[in-house]
Amino acid sequence: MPDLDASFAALADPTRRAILARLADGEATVQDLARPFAISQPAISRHLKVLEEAGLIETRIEGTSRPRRLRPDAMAQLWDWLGQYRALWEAQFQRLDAVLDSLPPDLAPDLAPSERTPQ
Amino acid sequence: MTTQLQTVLDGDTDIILRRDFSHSPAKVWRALTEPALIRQWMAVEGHPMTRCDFDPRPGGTFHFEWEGPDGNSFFFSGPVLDVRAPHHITHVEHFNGDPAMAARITTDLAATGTGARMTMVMRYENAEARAAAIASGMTDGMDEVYARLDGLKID
Repeated sequence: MPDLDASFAALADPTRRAILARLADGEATVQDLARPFAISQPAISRHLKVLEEAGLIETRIEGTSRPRRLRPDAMAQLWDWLGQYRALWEAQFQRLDAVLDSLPPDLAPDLAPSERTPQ
Repeated sequence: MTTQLQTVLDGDTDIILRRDFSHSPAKVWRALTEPALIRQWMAVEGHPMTRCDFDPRPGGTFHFEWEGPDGNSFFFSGPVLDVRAPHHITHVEHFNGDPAMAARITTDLAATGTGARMTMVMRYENAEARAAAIASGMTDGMDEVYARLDGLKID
């Protein structure tokens, strides 16, 4: 079971979020991951260690190759945890509430009573 | 009435959003489909929409575009498949025109005793595509989430 506080701390870094987004497309080696970033392979390896300790990714051993991949359960749990905040979507829907409040009242009921469903 | 947003991962491919509004489906429909109104609530702080087109008819298209923090623009666009105003719309959403990043989005508005309940189902091709969408959403949105978290009281 991933440590969710460690997961969130791991995600506080934009490079680690970019690595995670890349791994969401499929597994990759340190060399693959270092290529798009202007940082060294040892620096990437340190980021991968943080992500692995947070339970977000895992290492597969294949001969001398050590590809990293996302842990599928980690993504679902991270989503659940992030969902508690819902900061972005909810902020947008609150702006939508304000737009609705500014509209004039309906000229006519838009629904027949038979269409209404109880709350 | 609860206005709290519910977000659920459903099965391997779906993300479901549910939210209640204290206005009729007809009004919520207008705010979801009229560009002049969409611009008012879809603009993110510091990122005004630079383009907002929506032709909410079967065979129509939409294009929502913003200027990002680095000066690069990003957009969502795609075809409108099915419309039954003011209760239902199905459209396909591509991110930055990439056919590989597609979600089929079904939006339903049901009348409640006090307003409307919106249920939005975002369906991806497979589990990997959904994971990629979540991860890239995190990449794009997390700085703002962290900024907002600083101002939130978390119990």
